[in-house]
Amino acid sequence: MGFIKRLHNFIRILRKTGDAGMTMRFRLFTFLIALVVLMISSVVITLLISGPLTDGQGEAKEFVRKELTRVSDDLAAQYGDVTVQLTRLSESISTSIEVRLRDKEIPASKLQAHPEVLEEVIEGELDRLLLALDKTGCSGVFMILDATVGPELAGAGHSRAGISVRITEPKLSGPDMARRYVRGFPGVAYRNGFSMLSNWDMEFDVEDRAYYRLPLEKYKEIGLPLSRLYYWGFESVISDGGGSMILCCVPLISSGGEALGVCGFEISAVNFISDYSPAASEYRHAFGMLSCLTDNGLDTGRALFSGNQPVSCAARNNGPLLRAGGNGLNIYRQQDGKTFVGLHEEVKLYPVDSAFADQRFAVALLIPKGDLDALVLRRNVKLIMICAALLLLGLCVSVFISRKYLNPIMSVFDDIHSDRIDVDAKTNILEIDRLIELIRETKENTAQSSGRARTAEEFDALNLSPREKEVAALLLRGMTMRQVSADLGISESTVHGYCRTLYKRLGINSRTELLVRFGVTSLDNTHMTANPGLKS
Amino acid sequence: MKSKISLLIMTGLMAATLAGCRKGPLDPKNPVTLTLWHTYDQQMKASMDDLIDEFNGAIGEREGIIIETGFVAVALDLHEKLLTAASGAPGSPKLPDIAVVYPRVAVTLAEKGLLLDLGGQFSETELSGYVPAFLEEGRMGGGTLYILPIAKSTDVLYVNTTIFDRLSKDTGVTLSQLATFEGILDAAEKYYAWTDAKTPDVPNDGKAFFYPDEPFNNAMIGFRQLGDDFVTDQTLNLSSPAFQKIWDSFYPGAVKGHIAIFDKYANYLIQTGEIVCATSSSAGVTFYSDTVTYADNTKEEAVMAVLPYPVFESGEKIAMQRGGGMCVFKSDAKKEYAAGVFLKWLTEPDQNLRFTSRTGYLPVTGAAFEDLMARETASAASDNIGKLLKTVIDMQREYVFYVPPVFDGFEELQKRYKEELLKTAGDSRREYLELLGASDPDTAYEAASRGVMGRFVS
Repeated sequence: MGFIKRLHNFIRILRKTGDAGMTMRFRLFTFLIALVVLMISSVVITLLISGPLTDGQGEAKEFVRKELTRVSDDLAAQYGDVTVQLTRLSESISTSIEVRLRDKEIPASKLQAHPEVLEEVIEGELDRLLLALDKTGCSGVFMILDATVGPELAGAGHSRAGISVRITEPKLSGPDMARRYVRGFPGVAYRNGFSMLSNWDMEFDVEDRAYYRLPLEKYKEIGLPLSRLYYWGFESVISDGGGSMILCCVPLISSGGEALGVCGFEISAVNFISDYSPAASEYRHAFGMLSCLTDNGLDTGRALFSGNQPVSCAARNNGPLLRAGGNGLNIYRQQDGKTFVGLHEEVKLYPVDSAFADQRFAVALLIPKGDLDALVLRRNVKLIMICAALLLLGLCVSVFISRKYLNPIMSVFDDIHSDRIDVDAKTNILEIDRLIELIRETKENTAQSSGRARTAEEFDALNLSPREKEVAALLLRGMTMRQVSADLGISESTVHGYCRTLYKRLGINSRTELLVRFGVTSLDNTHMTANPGLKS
Repeated sequence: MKSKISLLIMTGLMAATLAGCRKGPLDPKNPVTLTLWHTYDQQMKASMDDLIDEFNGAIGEREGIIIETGFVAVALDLHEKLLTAASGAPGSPKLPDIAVVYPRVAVTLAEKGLLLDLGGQFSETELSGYVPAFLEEGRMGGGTLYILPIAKSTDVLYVNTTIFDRLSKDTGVTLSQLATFEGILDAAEKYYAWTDAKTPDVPNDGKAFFYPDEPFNNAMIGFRQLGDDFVTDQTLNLSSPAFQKIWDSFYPGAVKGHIAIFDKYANYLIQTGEIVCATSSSAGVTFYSDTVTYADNTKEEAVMAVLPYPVFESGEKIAMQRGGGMCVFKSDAKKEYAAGVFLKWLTEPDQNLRFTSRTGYLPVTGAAFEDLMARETASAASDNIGKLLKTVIDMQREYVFYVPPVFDGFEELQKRYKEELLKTAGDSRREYLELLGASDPDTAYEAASRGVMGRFVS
């Protein structure tokens, strides 16, 4: 309650400031507080400039940059190797198929006319496909021929014979335990000891499938070499599932230039998570992604994610990540308002003269902004607490000093104000003591001149002679008989004579009664105390 | 005033106590990471991954637990890897914190002192929520709970009714006769003849109707239905009269082409229209497609029926109870506590039913089985899973579930029996087909099968 009352007073004083000026105490208190605030602000600004207060952000930036560089370098190397292996695979498969067909006296261009050889042709390339798969460490390999076993069937135009072999969770199972799952001819699976994929089908529906259509179209349109024709896409050869994937696909071209189909590798989301998750850190919700790069951000619909799965899944389903500026770390926003901080870096998956060079990809590493803010706050909470404590301490010290310092001054001023000033009153502040002395002298002089005026009038009323008036005035100023005789140049007995006349006319018997009669109290008492002889 | 102060103190104490209880020994700022090895593959893995992600994002984050999938493989491979890790041989992998195991492997691990008694992580009340038979399996005949049931499976009969209805219309076989093995054999014989008759110019090209996936389990359950045990004293009881019935339910049909001789999953044969029905695990339901693709790539929509596991005539209604549970490897107090938190969450009815309704496994708690499963049936991930859950609820009421014996070498015994049976049947089938050119089917069968059973038994 006391504090509230004081606060109320403080506010009242503050409001009155300007009307009647500030009290000295308030002025001093305000000055001290301003000083304290200035000092603490200086400390905070220094910390901000020198780093400690922005430590969390700096570390996050360092972490993101380091991880992004690692992922970007590793990914560019691995995916580069995949494209090299793929072009070699395509060349060797094309040659092998041609040889196999030649043995059967079937020209490569007539493959579609001989559906009865498709199973044998495909099974013949199985070892080559598996070997390439082992070399790349991808999660799947496929080969799809531009032919179908049932050309007369409805939908034959987009049904293509082929084989897709997936090693489910190659990173989790290890090469010795990896199980191979197949989509394609069941006989090929049985004879080679493979399992069939749960979403098995005998052929592949290639209708509107970019991985099949685009490389073949580009080959037919511009006829670039294989190293300029491979295509990367966020899709799977099995259109009805298989989870998020990225695949790399290239045409199969015979020596005569006929397009026989396509072959390629698949990299599963699990594989991506296993290879490219951010290192364990305090940023528990950090996640990485490989995505298509757009002019204003990252396309989450065409992306693979690593790191924290619940957060990355939510990000995947919330639309593109639009870059929204940022200082040091970029800020990325989604349509539902979710905000992330991080960095992205473009990765070159194609040579500049590739048929698909306009497709841009980026790797990114992001942290939910709320997480980073909370972390920075947590990091600086001690500093903030220390600053707050210092401010509080400054406030208390200001109150204490303003009180302690001004108390004696105020006390003396109060005494002056109430005419109770002590002769020895001192504040030990030179200027204030001089001021007090000046006030005291002024007051004395005022009292004396006032007393003198009154005494002169009374002396006139008593019909005192000029000499008697002089003697009376000097006595009233506190002089002794001897001092009066010395001052006037008359004998002491003459002074006594004047006194007797004066006492008789006034009807009094002593100098003390004289002083009382003319109302000389404190000043005279002071003199009397200082000159005890006057009492007698 | 005093009473108000007392109330405040009591509230403070209770809050402090509750806060202490809730927190446990874990620190959310320094989470413990538990490695999980499991056997859930393809769609089942996706379901398990979703649950793990959900746990990590909610309970795990709050409590300070991260579950990481470390190794996924079929049970046989996973168990081999677990035993290698447990052996501590140079180069062997590090044991996980949690693994899906079957009792026969858990016995070995428990003997090495590697497994945690899960009884210490669960209260009696919590344990009483589980189906008692499932818990008993996890105790492996002793008092220590080494395996917590997560999801169980049984065997059922999958039927492609699209083909079966055509057969039924022409031959009079009925779906109800598939309730017994004898009825299945009769339908298989008729199906072979029916399909053979479709190409009169090509003799003996009828198609197989049925495949028991897999033959060892079929024999084990058949024995129990007939009141005997297929495995006694860790050896096969082939001298039992029950074995003659088991043999007759497979070998003659296989040799004559009524039953498929195959060493992989039955769904492959159903998906390609090679057979019409098969006994197989309920956990395989997601692998049964709604489309049959024939060898010439023609396709046919297939309506699947899921029927209770067949029973021998006059036999008892007994079916297999399969599916491992999760065990926890001994480590430190924090990890063991964290594993308990995860397993409790995973087997809560909500989570348990979400997993089972997407995979065809059976839930493991009484609450999930009794009330929730019926509700979940309506919202199953596919028609086939819905049909399966209905059938399993019926089986739960009418069948006794059999838990296979637990001993070292059981898997090898199972593997050898299956290989020998399929090889014997395959050899006889080839001989039978060769003989058919010169003799009638009965004579050819007589010649091909002469003395075979005796040699097999010996």
